[in-house]
Amino acid sequence: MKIEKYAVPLSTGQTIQCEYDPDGDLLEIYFSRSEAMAAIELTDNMVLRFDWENCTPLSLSIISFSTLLQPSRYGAMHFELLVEEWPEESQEKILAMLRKPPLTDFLTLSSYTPAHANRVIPTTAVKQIPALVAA
Amino acid sequence: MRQWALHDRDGREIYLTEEQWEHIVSGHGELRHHLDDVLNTIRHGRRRQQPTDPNTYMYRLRCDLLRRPYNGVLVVVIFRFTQDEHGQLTPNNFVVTAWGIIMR
Repeated sequence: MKIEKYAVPLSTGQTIQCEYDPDGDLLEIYFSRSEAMAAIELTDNMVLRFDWENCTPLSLSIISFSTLLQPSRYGAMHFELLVEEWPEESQEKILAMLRKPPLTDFLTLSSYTPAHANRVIPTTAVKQIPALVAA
Repeated sequence: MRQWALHDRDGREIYLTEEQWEHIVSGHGELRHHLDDVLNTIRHGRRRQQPTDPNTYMYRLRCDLLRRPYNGVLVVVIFRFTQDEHGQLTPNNFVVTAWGIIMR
């Protein structure tokens, strides 16, 4: 089992560590090595672990990561945020984390409104991470 | 090295190596002492295909044995084939990682 490790500088000046498992095509971005007190499925291909009390992200895992680096005809791929699967009391906490660093260094938040639908679908996309793309 | 081989609810054989399990619990401490619950998630959980990789699936199952607020297990499984010396393809389906999660 081979795990590749990368140091990634954040907009906050902090440097964090990412681990990539090439066999499993799994990227884990560690903002802190503290034991997580909560984790949710952010999208179908991302898991967010966080500190429930302080509302701080501890790690972000991206499944099938290499597929997100491949060129796409229409630009960045967006994935639906699985808000309805999160416990109600955590929804605002999670959205607040998504709106500020360090998660904004890796993800963009957006939304999509299909025609004839009476709801807005929240989505996210993974930003290009120069330290990882170069690797 | 030890490994656990089991079948999902549709009879697909999937394995988890001890090395991978050690790696999982070193990063996802909520699953330490919950190997059986991870294996049960593969045996009985519902699976969902990854949007960008048709060979990767997420298995999920409610589990009330984890410490609160966790109440579910999520497991990533990759489905592949390996070719033996006779050119025969055999399934090579393995666990990549797992998490304790909060489910609604």
